[in-house]
Amino acid sequence: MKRKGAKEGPLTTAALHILLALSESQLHGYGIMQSVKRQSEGSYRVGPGTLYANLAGLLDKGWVGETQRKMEDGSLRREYFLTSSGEQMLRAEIQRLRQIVASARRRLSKLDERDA
Amino acid sequence: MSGRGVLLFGFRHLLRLYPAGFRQRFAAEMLELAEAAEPSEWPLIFSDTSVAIARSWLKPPVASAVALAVRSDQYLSLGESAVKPLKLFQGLALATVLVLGACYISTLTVWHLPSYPDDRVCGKMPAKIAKR
Repeated sequence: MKRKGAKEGPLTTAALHILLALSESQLHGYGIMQSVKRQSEGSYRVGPGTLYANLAGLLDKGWVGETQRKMEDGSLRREYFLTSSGEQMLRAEIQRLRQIVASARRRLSKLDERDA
Repeated sequence: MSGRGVLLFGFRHLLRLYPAGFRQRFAAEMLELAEAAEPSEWPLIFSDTSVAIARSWLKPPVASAVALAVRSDQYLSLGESAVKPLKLFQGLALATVLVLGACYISTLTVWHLPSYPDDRVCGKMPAKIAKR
């Protein structure tokens, strides 16, 4: 049986990080940038060009939604949140990565046994 | 104008290079993001945005049939293509006119193409070179 989200193929690194960032809370653009930097411990940084190009795609697919939040000064700020289909996609992608890691561990342990 | 002001001014103009639809949707927000950014993030902001602008022009719209076909590795028949047969015919007619025009101009000695001393035998080597 095919898992959910399999037909969409693997997510790009940027899309995966954005979905992960939004799984914690709804965020505005700069918040996503900072969250991605934090969750990858500084090893992956996403710039505004990559961020908004990916957000546009994720919004079109319905994996991310947008909402307006009223700030203290009365201005409106657009924030993004993870939708239920986005969450499904994220879970499917994490499952795919788990399988890859499990397979890699098995193979590497065989190599370790051979080298020992 | 401060250094930050100059960077924001440059970034604002850089955003104008985005396709209109994307610019209207995200440019104001991207500018806000740049305003909130730390000085150390400016190289990333400029380089990343420049590459993204080039990509946005090179990438076809996601909704187009051509893009969908490319994504799923399907062969696209003429009827399904976003390019209409009339446009294809116009392209063919234009290409034909250009080729015929180039052929005609080449006959007018405008380009001064190189010629051999003996045009009847193209492959024949001049005597001086053959002696070497």
